Amino acid sequence: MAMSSSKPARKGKKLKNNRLGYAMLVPATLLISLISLYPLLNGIYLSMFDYNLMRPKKRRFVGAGNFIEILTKDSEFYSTLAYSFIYAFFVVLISYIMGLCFALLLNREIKGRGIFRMLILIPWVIPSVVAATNWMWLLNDQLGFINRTLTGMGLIGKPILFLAEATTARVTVIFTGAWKSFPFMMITLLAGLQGISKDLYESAQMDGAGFFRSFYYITMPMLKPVTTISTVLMFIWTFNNFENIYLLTRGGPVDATFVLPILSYYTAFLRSNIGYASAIASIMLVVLMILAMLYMKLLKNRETYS
Amino acid sequence: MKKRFATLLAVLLAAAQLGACAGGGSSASTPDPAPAAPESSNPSPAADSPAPEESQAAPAGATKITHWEMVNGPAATYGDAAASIVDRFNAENDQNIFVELQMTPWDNFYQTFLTAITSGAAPDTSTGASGQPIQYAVMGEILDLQPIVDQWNAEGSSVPSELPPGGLQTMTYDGILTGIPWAIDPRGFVYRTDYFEQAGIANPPTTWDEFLDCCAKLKAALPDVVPFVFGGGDQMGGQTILNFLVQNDTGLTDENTQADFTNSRVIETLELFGKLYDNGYISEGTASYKGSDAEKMYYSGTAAIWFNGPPAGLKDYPDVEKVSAIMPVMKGPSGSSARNYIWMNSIMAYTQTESPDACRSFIKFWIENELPLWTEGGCSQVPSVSSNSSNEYFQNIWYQKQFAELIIPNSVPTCYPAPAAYPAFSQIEGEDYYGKALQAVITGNRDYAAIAQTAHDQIAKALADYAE
Repeated sequence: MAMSSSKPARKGKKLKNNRLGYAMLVPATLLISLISLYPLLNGIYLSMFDYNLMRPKKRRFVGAGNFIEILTKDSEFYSTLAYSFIYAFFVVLISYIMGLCFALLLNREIKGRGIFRMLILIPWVIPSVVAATNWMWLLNDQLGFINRTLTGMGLIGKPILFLAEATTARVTVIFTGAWKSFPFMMITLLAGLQGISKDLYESAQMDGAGFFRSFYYITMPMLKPVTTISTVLMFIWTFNNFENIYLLTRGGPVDATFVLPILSYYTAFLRSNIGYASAIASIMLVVLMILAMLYMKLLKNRETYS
Repeated sequence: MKKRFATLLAVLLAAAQLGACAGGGSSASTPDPAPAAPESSNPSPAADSPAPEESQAAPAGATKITHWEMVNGPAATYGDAAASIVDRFNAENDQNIFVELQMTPWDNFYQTFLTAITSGAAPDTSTGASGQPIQYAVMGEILDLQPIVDQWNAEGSSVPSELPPGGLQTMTYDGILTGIPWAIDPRGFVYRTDYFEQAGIANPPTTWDEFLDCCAKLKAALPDVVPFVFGGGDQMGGQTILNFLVQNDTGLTDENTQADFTNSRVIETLELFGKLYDNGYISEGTASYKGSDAEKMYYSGTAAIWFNGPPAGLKDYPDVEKVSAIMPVMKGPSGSSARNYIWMNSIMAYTQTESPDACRSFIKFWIENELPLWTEGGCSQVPSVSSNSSNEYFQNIWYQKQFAELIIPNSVPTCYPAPAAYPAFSQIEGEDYYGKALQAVITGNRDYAAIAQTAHDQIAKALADYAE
């Protein structure tokens, strides 16, 4: 009897608690909808219009017209898309490798670990404009620290054209992008490493496993969930990143480092074609969603299989 | 072991932080340059941050208008100078008009204006980049300022005749005067007189052949100095080639405002840059330089000739300033006369205003009383009204004087040889089609015809898009 009377009371209390929880979520949900969902939906809506800012009154609905034009006629879109993928892939790869190396080092009990952790976050926290300006100074062929040092040491005969030659510029922006991104990767991987029980390593050590075997059979599998999330997130951020390349090269030389966010920006604000730019941005969104879903599914399948 | 890890980490961190704590690569004796040089059509070297805003309240019953003033000079002084003109207007006008001044930074100005206009939040009046008035006129957003000129003529004022020749015609679109030039932003070549002397160059070049010869002598005499520098990685690259194009009697379009980037004079211009690059007269990294990189190289003594606007930042480098001068205009092999080009920066009013007459009254007053923008505000451009530019203040600033004497009288507007500015120019300039043609040449591409054709097609498409 006592049980039956306490159950509805608990249920009522739980419902009351839930209501309070939902009520408290309302302001944040509204705010997020306002600043995130509305622009997203409005962007998709605009992508279905021939809408040029120079002729705002002549806006007309074209349905999938912009998408068809981009996908069937726009060679600039495809060349830009190709480099966008290359750029995002290598930035994620390099920042993952760098982040993992630093995370492994900082996971050890060393003196000043806190200071190192703080210092390593500097590339992540300094403003992109500051970072880009400094990189431009460092990479300048005549006055840049890197070229001057290498030339002074006799390691190179003539300056390396980091940003003035198409291939080197493509590589350089990937490295500056990775430099800016790796602290995030390091922090997330470090959190993942700290979640791995030390008992596993001790057992492996007792069974005669060395560093590399432990790393391969314990660390990497245990880091898989963190790796999945962090690389997917990083890929999305990098693919959508505008400032790193724009500030360093503005997409040059001769469009060698042009990526989709810059193309979308130019289309919107220089060509004034808001509808077409929104369509480019919408395609970017779809491409990223498909990629993220495929990646997650692939990893899930592997986990199930193993 | 722990110590080793700590050391390894410290080394890795030092490498990783390199970019964050770098201070440039100039030698210890080389001072850092002033803020970046103009990147687009008009931002002045010190025009990056807004000055304090004017915040006086409008008197009751007054017609209130808002003026957006671009930061065209040092933030510390320019805003105050603009405010002093506005204060005078507010105090002296007898029509009970009150102007609220809002200083607007050049950063993202394009988006700022376009967003404000399309969302119905345009200011009543503003200054801005030279291409803006025509562009907004196409949208039907620009107020006709011809009544101001008519009033000047009725009053017998000398102002219309003191404006740059063709200045008003250049700003006329579809029968309306879209803006009135308030300042001229000239471009020219700043050079080191001491380097020229060391290279045995008696007079600065006046033709392209002399220019190439001059670069050859500089390279031979001063192997560590780059003969010619410009920002090839931003819009200064486009501005540089545009200057050489007008020297060779051509431009981005023909006289009928049709794309004209494949003619022989354009090819000659591209070939000139090919020669400059192949002979090492410009550094191999030029395609990556921003305007600020070129500025830094000139100030640090690494370059002998520098393409830029009036070099206001030189005042911080007195040793370099005393051996600097402005080169006279040059003539290309197919050019009919020696010339450079100038940007004409206008003040404009918007059709969204509820008080068009008040806007025109304010603009008229602004043009007639703009001198404090220079004498108090330190504006780096040159006044468009000739009686202002001949003021004693400008006679004491050597580069302003030399630009006024050597460059401006021999300059044409950026739309040359088209008779008037055209709406697509903003896009063509923003996307820097002609600058990309230059980049192709200075990154080693020698297929001049194909390079020119690509830029031609892009310009033609932009013109066609705007003609729709």
